[in-house]
Amino acid sequence: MSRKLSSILIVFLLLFSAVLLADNSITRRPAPKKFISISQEDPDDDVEDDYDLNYLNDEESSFITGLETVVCTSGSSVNVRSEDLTKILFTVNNEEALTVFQGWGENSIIGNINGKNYTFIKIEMVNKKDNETRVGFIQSSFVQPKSKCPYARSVMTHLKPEDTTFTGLEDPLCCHFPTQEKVTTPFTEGMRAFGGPRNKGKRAHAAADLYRYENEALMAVAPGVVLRNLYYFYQDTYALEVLHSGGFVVRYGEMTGEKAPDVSMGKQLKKGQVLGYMGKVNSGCCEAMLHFELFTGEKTGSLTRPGVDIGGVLFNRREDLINPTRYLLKWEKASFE
Amino acid sequence: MPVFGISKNEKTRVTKSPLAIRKEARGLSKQNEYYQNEDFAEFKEDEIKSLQELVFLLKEASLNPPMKLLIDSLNTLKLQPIILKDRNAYSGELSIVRTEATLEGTRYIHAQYFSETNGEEFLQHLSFEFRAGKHSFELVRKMIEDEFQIKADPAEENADFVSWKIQGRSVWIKKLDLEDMKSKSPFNSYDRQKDVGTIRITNEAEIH
Repeated sequence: MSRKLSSILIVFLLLFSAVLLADNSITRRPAPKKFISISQEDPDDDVEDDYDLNYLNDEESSFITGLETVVCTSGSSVNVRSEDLTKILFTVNNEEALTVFQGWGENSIIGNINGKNYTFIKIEMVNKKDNETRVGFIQSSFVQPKSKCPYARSVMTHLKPEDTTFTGLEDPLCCHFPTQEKVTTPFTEGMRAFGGPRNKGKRAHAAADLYRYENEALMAVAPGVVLRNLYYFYQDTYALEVLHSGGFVVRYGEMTGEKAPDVSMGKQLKKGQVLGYMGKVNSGCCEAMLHFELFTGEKTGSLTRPGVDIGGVLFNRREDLINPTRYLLKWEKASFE
Repeated sequence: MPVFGISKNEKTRVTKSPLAIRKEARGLSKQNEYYQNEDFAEFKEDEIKSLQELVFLLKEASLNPPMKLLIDSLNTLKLQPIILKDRNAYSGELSIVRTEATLEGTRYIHAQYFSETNGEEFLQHLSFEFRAGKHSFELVRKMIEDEFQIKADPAEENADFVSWKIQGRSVWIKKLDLEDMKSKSPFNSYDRQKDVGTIRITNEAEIH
């Protein structure tokens, strides 16, 4: 009898639990995002997101650095957490560069910290090494374009090479050849040469292509300052712009997306310092190369200028573009012979 | 999901961008063809629609739309555009437009604009990605060929890559492999287990 009563009681309890669970599912917050509640203390504060178009007209500073997405905080550091938000994996500092993961649908999770909801996103720290913990979840309000981050110390930077003893392209000390060793194929002929035909002869090649090996280090030809961080160049390769001592500008093109140590917008470079790595276009058509563009620095504005010809030849570049061949030949000889 | 200013059921209208008007005039003709193609049954209707939206945007990129127009269009799609801006006295201004939100099956929208002091803008690069799938590459290729009305042979073609020269620009698609996942990007992050086979889709100036 008592066994029968026990069975009835168990069935009743199971039914009651099912009703409770069903009820819970009805009243659960219909959030489209993953929702996690944690109880740990977190000093993080919300910063209001504000990506208005007026920002486009912001002329308050001459130099704005902003191609990076960074950690943006008034505090000393921010926690990066595990996916369930319960563990702090590592901390990151203000202005550290990162990339944000996007998936194929939902890209964020909501965590409840001490009764307040925060949105977390998955990020990867750009400058941490592969063997370090570099991926985790961070409050989205701490992720900002560098140019929008009020706590970024280098948002306004006066870009001038500090080494003024070097006077430019005609300086006897000029310059270091930008690859580690001599090129594997001459850059003075064919499609690699400056002025080589492009688009069936409709335009001309604005650089000398220096063929070597993929991922090999590339060097700054002279002292200078990084004008512009890596940006997409062509077929998933990247370019970096440098203002060198004496005023000439080099666009180092067709690099990989890997950042060299201590190379970012506004950073001073020494002659021969590694500034990036040789890339290869993703069609697989061609050898790895450095696409080397040289500008005297007598003009200002974008280096790429559609429709601009120089001396009657369409280069689609700024008017102070010059042929780098004679300089490169001289530097190659001085560097490797 | 709005279609450049027109809601899914085409009853509720929201703010239109000029891109929306051009798209409306052109019509939304091809959708059924993709939905009914058995090869593409692995894709959800919303994924195909997302891809169509962004391939249309990619085509418009050839017309060098002003940055504000691109941003308007991304806002209309509720993609929450972000602007990363870089300006210096020596090499001018470069703005990168990305988005915080994504359309289903797509991600990593990335546009690069060079600007001059006289207000001229030049859209150098527009790209995005479509999710991996057995027929993702074929779907993307077919949609590009349809949308751009490509009749000529590709400029370059291999098993994982196709490029076309269109209106002085390069339009290309690439199926990303493990090596691509290992390459570091200053803009995108990849999961080496899940992202192999992702399709990158780009319209860019022939800058090389």
